Amino acid sequence: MSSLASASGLAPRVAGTMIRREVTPLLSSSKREVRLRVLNLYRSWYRQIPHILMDYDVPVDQDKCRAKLKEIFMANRDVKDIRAIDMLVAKGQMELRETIEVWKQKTHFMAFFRDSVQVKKTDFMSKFLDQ
Amino acid sequence: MRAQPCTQCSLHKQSPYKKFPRRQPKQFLFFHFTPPSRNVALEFELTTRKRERLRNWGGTSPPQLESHFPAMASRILPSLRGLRNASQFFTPGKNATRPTASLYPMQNSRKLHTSQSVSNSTLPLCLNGNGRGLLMPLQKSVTWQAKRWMSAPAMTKKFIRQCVILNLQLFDKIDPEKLTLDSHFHNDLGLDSLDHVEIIMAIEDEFCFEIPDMDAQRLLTPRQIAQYVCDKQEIYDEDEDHHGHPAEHHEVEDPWQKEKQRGAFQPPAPAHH
Repeated sequence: MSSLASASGLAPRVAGTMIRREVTPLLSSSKREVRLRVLNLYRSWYRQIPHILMDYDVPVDQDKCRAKLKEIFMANRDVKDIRAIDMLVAKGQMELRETIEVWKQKTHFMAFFRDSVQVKKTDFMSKFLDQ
Repeated sequence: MRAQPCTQCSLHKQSPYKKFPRRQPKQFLFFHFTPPSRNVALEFELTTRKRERLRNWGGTSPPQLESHFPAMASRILPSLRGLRNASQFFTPGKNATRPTASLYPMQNSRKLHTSQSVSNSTLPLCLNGNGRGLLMPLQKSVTWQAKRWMSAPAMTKKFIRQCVILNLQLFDKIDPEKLTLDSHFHNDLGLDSLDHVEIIMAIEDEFCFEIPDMDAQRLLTPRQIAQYVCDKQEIYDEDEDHHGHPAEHHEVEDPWQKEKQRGAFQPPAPAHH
């Protein structure tokens, strides 16, 4: 099989051919299946949001939660590898379980809303205080 | 120490456990009840022509009774008490050979007109089709529509469509003016698959039944959603066929055509004696 040969790196690469590897799947074996997994995860989170807000005393409302959920899913929209998507779905399911069972605390839940990018301070006082 | 059944006491001759036998399921009477078989032609005749026939002595008998009439009615009718009114439903049929009118103890036909009052006791009678030939009262069909306090409202296709449109209009991402029954979510309204999932979830919550993924991915316009809900809830509309096009109404064959040709359902002729 040419795909095996090219995987081992021995076969000469021809310009324009697609290099594929045959690998064992993680959870899903096709794109259709992985798409169903993603949508079901979205559905589960969406349905759980009202219950989460009842368990945790957090300064967010339902609309903000839903927007955040959409944002997190959209951030990963360009991932093409089925196994990578499976891994992300599994991590999402783990997060969901921890949130439902209240194994997380308020601060862990609010970590979803925290910005990962730290904006540099420009004015003098902020720079002085952040030293 | 377990209590032993007393050998002398008559109460305990049986096992103590059998004193309280296991309760048998109730024998419902309905299983043993066989309703009288219905003579539909007779019922039709009686319900539509009842008042005229009560007024005029000597109405036409339904076609099926013409064969029964001479043999059975003449034997049965005089023996039944309080059935003066029964005789008016049985008149000499075409096949009757003897003058059966003379068998009925009707003194004065004029009395019938004035003293006649339709009440529950004078329900129309029919011959029991079991073959025993007993006259049994027809069930008075009462068509009451009971008010249901705990059930869902009666659904129609129009109602479902309105529900779907309303739910979609309440969405933030959908412009209510642009929304029509045939607007495609991806092409016309610019929604993505996660919004589509949210829409399907809203429909599920609205109509209280689950929509599987395989079906959900096919539902891309409000019209398709409404049609799917109708299919699942088994709601049909006479004026529209399955695809939402106006249905053709076919001419229904008249089931009484043969009888009508024979001249069965004519207004009763005035009586002559």
